[in-house]
Amino acid sequence: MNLANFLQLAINGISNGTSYALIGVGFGLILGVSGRFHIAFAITYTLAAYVAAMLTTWYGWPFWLAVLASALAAALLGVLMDRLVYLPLSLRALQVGTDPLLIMFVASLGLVVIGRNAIALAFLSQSSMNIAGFSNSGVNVGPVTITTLNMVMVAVSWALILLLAAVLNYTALGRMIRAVRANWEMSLCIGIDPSRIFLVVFAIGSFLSGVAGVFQGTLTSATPDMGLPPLFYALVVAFVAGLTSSPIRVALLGLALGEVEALSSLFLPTQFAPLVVFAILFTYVAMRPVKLADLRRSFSRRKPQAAAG
Amino acid sequence: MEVRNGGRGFGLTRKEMLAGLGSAAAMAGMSGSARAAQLAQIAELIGVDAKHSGKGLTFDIGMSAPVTGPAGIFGSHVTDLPKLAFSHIEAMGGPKFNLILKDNKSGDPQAGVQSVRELGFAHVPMMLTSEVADLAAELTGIKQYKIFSLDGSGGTSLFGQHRSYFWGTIAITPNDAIPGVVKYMLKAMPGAKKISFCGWDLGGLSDAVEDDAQRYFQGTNFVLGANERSKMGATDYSANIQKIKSSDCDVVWAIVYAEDIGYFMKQYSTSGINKPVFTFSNPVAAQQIAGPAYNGIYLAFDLFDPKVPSNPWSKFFVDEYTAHVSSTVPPENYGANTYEDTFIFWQCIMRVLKAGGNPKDGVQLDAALRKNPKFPSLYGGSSSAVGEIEFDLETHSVKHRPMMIAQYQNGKVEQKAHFDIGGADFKMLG
Repeated sequence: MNLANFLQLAINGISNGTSYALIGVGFGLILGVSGRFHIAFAITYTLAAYVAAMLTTWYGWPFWLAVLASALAAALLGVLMDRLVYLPLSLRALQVGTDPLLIMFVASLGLVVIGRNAIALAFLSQSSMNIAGFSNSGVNVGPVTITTLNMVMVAVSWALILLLAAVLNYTALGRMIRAVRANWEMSLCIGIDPSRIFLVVFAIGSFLSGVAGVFQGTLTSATPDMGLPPLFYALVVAFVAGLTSSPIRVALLGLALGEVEALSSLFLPTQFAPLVVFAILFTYVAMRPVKLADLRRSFSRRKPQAAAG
Repeated sequence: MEVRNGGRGFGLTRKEMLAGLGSAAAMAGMSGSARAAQLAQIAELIGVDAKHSGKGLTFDIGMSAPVTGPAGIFGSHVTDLPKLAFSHIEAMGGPKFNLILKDNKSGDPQAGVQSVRELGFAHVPMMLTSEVADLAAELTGIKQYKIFSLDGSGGTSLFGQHRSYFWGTIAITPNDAIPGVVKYMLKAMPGAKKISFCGWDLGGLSDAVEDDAQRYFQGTNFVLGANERSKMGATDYSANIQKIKSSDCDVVWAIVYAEDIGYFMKQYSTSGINKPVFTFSNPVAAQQIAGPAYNGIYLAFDLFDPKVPSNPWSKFFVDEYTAHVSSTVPPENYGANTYEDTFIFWQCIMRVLKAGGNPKDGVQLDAALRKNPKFPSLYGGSSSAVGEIEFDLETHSVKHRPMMIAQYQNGKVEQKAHFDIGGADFKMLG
């Protein structure tokens, strides 16, 4: 094994893993608290990259202002998705006594299809868009090269993850979110409106997806399909870490996933690296089989007696 | 009165020609006489047979292109080219064409199969296809429905050769360019020894590229360093690049296409490696993605130079493209091939009509090509004669093709060497 190779791949793993961490935390927060299987997370991720590309290339906005605006746009879209699609469907499911799990999943899948194609149609003349305003360059540190973009992305992402952890642990809002995550029906009894908390977690989770999307778009470019591969990683991170885990635990798992994936290139052909991630999920599911009833209880939160039982 | 085309014996009546040219000039909104004269000259040069030109007929022509998906920019670009050709053909006294466009969704095999099936159900006799008939997904349908098909963006490659009704009108990428690249490196990079690859993982096709390269490395000092493979559509090349870096190579061959080469270069430029990179296409989308990171890359592929058109037809094509298709994106070889392919269809139609056959039968159109595999071309030629494209009846690919090595710098391409398929007639420039 070549030490330089190992170190460089480990560095690559940190940047990739941090990206997985950020989207895993965002996706996990939405899933764990609201029970919405929000795979349209891929669309907020993609939209943010396109918004940043438009703002920086068409309107000349400074990069960081565009990052903020794009992430806010992603947050707004996430909130709208919950308010306009998930909430009405959820209420309808409760009215007719149907399990909302599958309904949410199908609705979210529909949002992915619509969102992806809407973006592709809107930007038909250009299949990808670059995000301008960030001058990326390589910095040599001994035998390894670190790019300025990766350094910034890692710093910003971990700052956001730690901030979220602090909010969840030390603020009133965080306590309300955790209360709803634990049992939204019980939270009603102490005056918390779960639907508002759902909006908050959709905003936070989508904001995080937006930040991740903008960084990925800067590294490569914004494309209509760019949100789908990260969704897979977000799913793996959220499931393996656990839906009620703290953001730090989820993020560390994302980081570990990135490292395992990157370092697997030492032993496997590079193109097989994503399979390692799939193998991790497969192994996890095999070792800790998820019962459908548990999933339903966790996602739908409408059978507290079953949860108690 | 007929305008004769030398010894070919094809002719076009002056009346027919002027009628057609007048309408084309009016459509173009430019000086009628100048354009009409140009069209008349082209018609003569390419040997239009007025008696069997198909005037008054209408043909359905299918097109399977990546309208959406990662290569969508390419698709939106090339779909304009047959339309440009249609207007010219009609102006030259030829038939009308009706384009039936199908989206292969950038290499989606299911979309490709569906496209060719729909074209087959519509009894379309001829079809413009791309990306080696959507990475071979369309070949079975092309054979089943007997659709005479030309591919000017992917050609036959190695896996699309000898296939019924399917012909490639571009050099095989990268295999046809490899000998020229090896010759160029021997002359221009005498210190280079180790070459690392990063290519799409296409299984046996990737092996064939490696075998070809190794074959041409024999007798030189070149050895293969890292041989990295990536999946099509990859955007993260960090692990591949690290392995290339650790191979301590002198030259990199990036055998990835479409937008992927843009992503590769974007990451390569910040990797700390400053070795020259060769690639085998020059997609506009990749240039846009990579931006300044694309500077310095060496390009080895078919030579279609819009700045120095090689014959009157290619000059006319460049002018018309600039006026009607895009004034910002210069025409490149993919667009030129698609335009030229439409004229090959017309030539086959004229031949079938002359033979008293049915030009709406893909089998007869295919037979017309087999009977005489030579056609006028935008490539090559001289100031007074169009070039010639000749198909290899065995492989179904082009027999000859002007090719080049060039270097990209800030949107400009500086040509470094010219050669033909297999490195023949290799010539350093400058």
